[in-house]
Amino acid sequence: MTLRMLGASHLTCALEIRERLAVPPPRLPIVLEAFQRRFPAAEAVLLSTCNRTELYTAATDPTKLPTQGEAIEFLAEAQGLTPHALRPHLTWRRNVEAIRHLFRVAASLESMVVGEAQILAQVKAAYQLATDAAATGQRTHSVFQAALRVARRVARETRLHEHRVSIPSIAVRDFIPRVFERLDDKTIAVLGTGEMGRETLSYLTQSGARRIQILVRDPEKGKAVAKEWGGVAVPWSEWEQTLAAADLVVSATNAAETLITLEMFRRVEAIRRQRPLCVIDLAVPRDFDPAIGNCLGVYLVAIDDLRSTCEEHQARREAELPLAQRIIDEEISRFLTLSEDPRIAPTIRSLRESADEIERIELERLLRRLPNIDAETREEITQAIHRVVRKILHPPLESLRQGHPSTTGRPLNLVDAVIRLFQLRDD
Amino acid sequence: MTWELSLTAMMTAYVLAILFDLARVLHRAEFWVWGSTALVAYGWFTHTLDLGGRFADAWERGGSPVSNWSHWCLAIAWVLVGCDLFLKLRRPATAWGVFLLPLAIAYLAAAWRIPAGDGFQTPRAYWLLALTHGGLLLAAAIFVSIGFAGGVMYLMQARRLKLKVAASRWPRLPSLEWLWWWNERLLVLSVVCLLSGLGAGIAMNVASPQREAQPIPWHEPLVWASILMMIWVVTVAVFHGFYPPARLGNKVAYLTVASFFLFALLLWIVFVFPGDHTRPEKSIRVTGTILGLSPPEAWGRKGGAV
Repeated sequence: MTLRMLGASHLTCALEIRERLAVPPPRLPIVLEAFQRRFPAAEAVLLSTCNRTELYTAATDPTKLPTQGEAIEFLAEAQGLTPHALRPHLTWRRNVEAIRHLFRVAASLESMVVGEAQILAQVKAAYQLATDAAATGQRTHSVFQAALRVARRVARETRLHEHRVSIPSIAVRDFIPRVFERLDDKTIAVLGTGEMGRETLSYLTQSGARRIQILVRDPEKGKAVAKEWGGVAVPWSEWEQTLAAADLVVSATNAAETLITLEMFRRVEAIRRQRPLCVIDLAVPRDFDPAIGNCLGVYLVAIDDLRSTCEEHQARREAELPLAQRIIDEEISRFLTLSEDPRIAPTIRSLRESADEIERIELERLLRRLPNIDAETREEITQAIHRVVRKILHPPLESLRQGHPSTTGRPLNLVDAVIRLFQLRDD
Repeated sequence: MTWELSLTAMMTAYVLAILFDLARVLHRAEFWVWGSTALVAYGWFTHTLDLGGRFADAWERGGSPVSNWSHWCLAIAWVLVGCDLFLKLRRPATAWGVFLLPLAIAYLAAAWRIPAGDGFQTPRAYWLLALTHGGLLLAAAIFVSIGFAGGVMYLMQARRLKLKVAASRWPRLPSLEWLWWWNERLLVLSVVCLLSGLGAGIAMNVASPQREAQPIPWHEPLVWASILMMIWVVTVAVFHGFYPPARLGNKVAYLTVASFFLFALLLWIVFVFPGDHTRPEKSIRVTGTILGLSPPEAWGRKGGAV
């Protein structure tokens, strides 16, 4: 398998470089088109996310592929950079190493947050986009389809995706459910509309939050954010009434000092009449005086209280890594077996076609002999015969795909055996 | 001997189920969840067979199910374990057994300690009142016990949240909102059942001298304990009705826990000083019953006291 990968990720370079290398989605087809013009015999897929930009290239004839220097030059040109400045930040991988890297990327083992599910969709989208741009071919099809299959297998067979690792997701999915059963009937006050506040809002709305009040100092900005999240912008002057009415408060402002002191909260407490209140303080420095957490019915959690859960989840994910790596190793060996023996795929196809032909002829013969049966019975018989054929074919096809070694250590020539056993034509 | 065997089987299953629930803290595996559920299912099956056998036996002897304190405790334990099993299947992430099963075990221990022969004394003419009295008190005992478990869970969850203990450090508990909602309803139900049940008992006792049965003397510890319980229940009802914060959060949990302790005290008095409420079965024909489930032929028998 001739596959090359040139790219940079959060593991190899700083955010400033990644930002300059990132190709926005509307430009991806243009860059792929430029690649095809320059290297017409090569296939390409360009994966560009906030954490990585990677160019995968493949070809039947390795000499038709861009060399490392040519690939760097192409990427630099496409992004308006100089190859010299870019070179130290880029990684070049070939063949098995490139396949292994792609499988690890798709399975989220190379992500900043290991196990995050978004990367699979991003790999799928990059592959689809390259296919739409006619930049892919047989090699990229097989390696990317295998990568997607591997990612799904890792997700299915490991617990890598189970534990949340971002602070807002832990706050919303782990802490709040310990206080509230549902969020659609709760009044939620949000202080601060920065990155953390917005991420928390997205998790809150996903969890069913409907009554959102966004406390803001800037009414215009507040209205825009409120519109985006389906909430109501409330001027800061009404903080007291807003906190008094709230069941849940999420605070993530950039304020340089404590926003709500204990004395201020006492005024709110008097109106609340001991109604339980959950406060998620994600700001640094904290927006809520920690002493508020001692008030009756108040459950206050700050960013540091959630960080330990975050680290715990990360550690649990990392414990799953050996299993994920084992799956990837298995899949690489399987993929190489399939791609190294060019006769496997045609043999599988031929065996299937032969079986389908026998199934069709026998079914027609049987149904001709049974003219009086109704449509339902007819369908039942057709399905039953189809299932029998598929089940009989499944073990030999799997063995072919996996390329089982013999007990003597030498690989069995299963392709020849299947061709002779089933009397297939060896094209 | 059979009773001891089935009791040992039940107790062992329930104790192991509690240990399985606790083991989840140390080792996260589905095995503990399903192991605990299987043990409770096995224990409950044995419990059902045992209770069914006792009821059938009581029925055949012209008596009725739940006709003595031992049966009464067994029935409460059976309902508690049934609740645990149901909740385990509905919400397997929560370690319900840690809170519900110890109560069931306590009731089983009480059933084992109380002499099975002591039957409830009920005038035949007041079988409907006896049914109301016994049935409502049995329901109240169940509500109070489940409410107690819910109250403890609420207080524990609230404490863990105050101390910012990570969710993974202990078997998962339901949300405060869910627990509060249940506790509030259980408190109301237990207050209603206790008041009505004790009221029915008093009414039966007041009316008894006019008919064939002997009343329970008013100076008996059971009567005084019941009056104390009624005062508490009325206080809870007033507190709950007129002070809105009493319907929220911790206060509901405190009320459910306090109600259980007072109820346990009442039961302790009943068991230690049985008095005339229960009499040896030899001298009593059980006809009117705590659940009113006595066989029709028994209704026609003569013999006022049951």
